[in-house]
Amino acid sequence: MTRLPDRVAIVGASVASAMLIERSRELGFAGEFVVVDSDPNAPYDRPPLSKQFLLGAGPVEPAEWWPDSTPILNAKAIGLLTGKRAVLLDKLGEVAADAVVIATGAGSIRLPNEPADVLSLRTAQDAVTLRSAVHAGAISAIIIGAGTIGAELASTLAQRGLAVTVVDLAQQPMQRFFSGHLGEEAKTWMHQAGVVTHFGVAVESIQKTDARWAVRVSGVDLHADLVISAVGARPNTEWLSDSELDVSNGVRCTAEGRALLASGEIADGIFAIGDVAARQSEDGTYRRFESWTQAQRHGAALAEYFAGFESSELEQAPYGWTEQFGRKVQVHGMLPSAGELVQVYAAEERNAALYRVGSTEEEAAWIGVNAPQQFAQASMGLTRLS
Amino acid sequence: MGEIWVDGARCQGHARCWALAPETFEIDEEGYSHVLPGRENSGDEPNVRKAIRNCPERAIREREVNEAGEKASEVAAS
Repeated sequence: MTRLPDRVAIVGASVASAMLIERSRELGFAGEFVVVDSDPNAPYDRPPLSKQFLLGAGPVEPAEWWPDSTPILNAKAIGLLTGKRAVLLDKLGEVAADAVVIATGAGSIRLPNEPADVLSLRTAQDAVTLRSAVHAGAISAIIIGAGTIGAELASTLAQRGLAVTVVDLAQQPMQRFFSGHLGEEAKTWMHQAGVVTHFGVAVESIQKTDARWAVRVSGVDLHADLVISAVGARPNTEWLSDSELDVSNGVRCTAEGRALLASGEIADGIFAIGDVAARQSEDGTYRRFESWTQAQRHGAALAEYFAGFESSELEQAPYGWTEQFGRKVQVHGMLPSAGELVQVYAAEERNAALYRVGSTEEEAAWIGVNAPQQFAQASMGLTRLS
Repeated sequence: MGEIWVDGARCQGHARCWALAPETFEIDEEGYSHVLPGRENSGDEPNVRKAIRNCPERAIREREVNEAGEKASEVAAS
């Protein structure tokens, strides 16, 4: 049975929506996509913004993966008329469709005591602002938050020669990405690059005097030219506050991506993909991923749902990657935080290692550091087992 | 159907394509990938499509080949 709508409105020109469009076309969808995005630079690649982009001087490149035949309306979605399947825009009125796909992603969390001119990194404009500040002669930076983005920023800015300090409430870098594993190793990567770290501490205050910042932790002021907040992301659902959808933590939706109302019923014709979507997983819980790969799979899976067949896209194990201090770090599977970590391969001359986490074959997940071949072999074994 | 190729400027060495479709892709020690000679026309195979969709860099591309066999245009594989 095909569920193909004739006209699909997509809010957010993201990697998830690009994949939805491409996969739909591949499966023979001949209808219309109407895409709106409030970001004037969309579509673009986000992963390079914390890495190569800050080291270079070039402009934000438009994403090569965006399907050229699909135009993007530059407008901000300010509401959803759920029953009518219409998106309200700040300009251009409203867009009505047979299906509405919510792909608004996530935005930076700001600390309550954070002055407005503290930098953060989420959009292309954020990256341009940050790079300008670095080019303007900043020689030191404090990064609040050592998740993957904060740690990537530390890596990139240290490479550019800045004196970098990292502060995090967590006990280790990338605590969530590594599910609590490899903390000491990741600290060592930072320290070897000259990054000063403060873990397990809260930020007590952030103040600016003249052109210099002071960030207080454990009663002591740390000083720098720049302060960058990288404490995490939250789903962009403010515009859905009157929609009657369940937006308690992202847009809650079924395993197929059909959005749920706060009442628990399915909102007919409304879908969510990418970082904004909290999908029901096999164990019944609703889980939100902030993951490039998962976003791509959400898009492909929804196209397959529209085309009327059972999608296997989301049965694949999660995959994430980051680049840290000259190391290519890859994670395959859901790392069990309580699982034992075993190093199964190492080549010290190129800082390479492969770790297995979890004692049984079913729950085994892998962390690769500069070991793409060994990592791929290991994850292949996992794929073939499932 | 077009020919597939790996855009070396985009490939970052994730080696996902090789993990998903080792019969079509080959990688070097750093994970950078290329299409095995003779496998350029395997773009329709399910494993290869899966690999194309799973490339984090969208680096696996497709070359349209027209009836005369000329490489008419290059487009990103979906």
